[in-house]
Amino acid sequence: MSKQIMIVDDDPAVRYTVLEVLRGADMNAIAVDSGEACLEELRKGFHGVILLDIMMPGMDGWDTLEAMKREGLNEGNIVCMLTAVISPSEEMDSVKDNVLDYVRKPFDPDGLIATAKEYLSYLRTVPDENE
Amino acid sequence: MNIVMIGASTGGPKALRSLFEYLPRIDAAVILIQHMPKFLNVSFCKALSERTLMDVHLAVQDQLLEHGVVHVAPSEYHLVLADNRRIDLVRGVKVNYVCPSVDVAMLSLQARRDDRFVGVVLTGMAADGAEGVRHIKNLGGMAFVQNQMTAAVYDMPHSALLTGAVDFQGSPKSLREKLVETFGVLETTTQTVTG
Repeated sequence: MSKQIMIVDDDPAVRYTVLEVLRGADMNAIAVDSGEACLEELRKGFHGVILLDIMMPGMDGWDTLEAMKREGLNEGNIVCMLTAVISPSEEMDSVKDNVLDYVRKPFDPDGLIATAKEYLSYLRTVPDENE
Repeated sequence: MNIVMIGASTGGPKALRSLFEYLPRIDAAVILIQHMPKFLNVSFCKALSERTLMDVHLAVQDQLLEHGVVHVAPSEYHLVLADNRRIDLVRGVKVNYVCPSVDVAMLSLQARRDDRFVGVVLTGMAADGAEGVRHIKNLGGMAFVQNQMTAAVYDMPHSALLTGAVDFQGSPKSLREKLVETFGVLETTTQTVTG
């Protein structure tokens, strides 16, 4: 599966906006509404940049990240947490080396595009172990 | 030997992009600790090397520090310096929940005549780097941190600031200028910045 972007957020307005912004910049993006759905996409082979909301009902962003680590689904993917919270909580300590960036809501569209492009470019230059 | 140790975590790649943009070859060796997954080590170094005239390398065991060179700590190893000159990569438990740890690297610096140190703490969660800049200050060095306005996560710079050891805080761009002002630029025959 090609390298792309996955937005994980329970708020349909956020999902819609982010998809519009990223697709408007010719980026290949998908959106899911929960941590469980994110894990399912990863199990199906998603590979790319994950924009993961922290505050979600049920399985929140931290729970999702922990589950990704347990199943090894974080390997080869870049995770950026999305939040309106001013400062991260201590819950993040154990998984912080898996989170490359922290994107604040509401989004600045240009900043969001720049962030997504930068991290996708990192993935494009990762040496492929199969090559 | 002039040594700059820079620590960054969450939000670090963007801050470092700004700090290294057009950075000339400063007259110091730079040790860079960016918390990141191991698979990104090579692409991170490549992206950084495209920003600066300094040589950027993923640090290797027993490598000697060199002015004008950025030595990037590889993931899953603590980077410590032997006699402020030689890189030692150490497998070990996480410190401050991370490996490599900024504190571990900075605390390995030793008082040595004619050596000058600067510790820089950029965006990131929790407090890695705070003890490190306190140590650098005790050695007679200086400490710079990223300011709140530009940090994606202000925890690490703020924790460093609370030690009372910080000499300057500012944007990544102003930190770049401060490094150039502090150490000066290495003389080279060709210095062309593109992009």
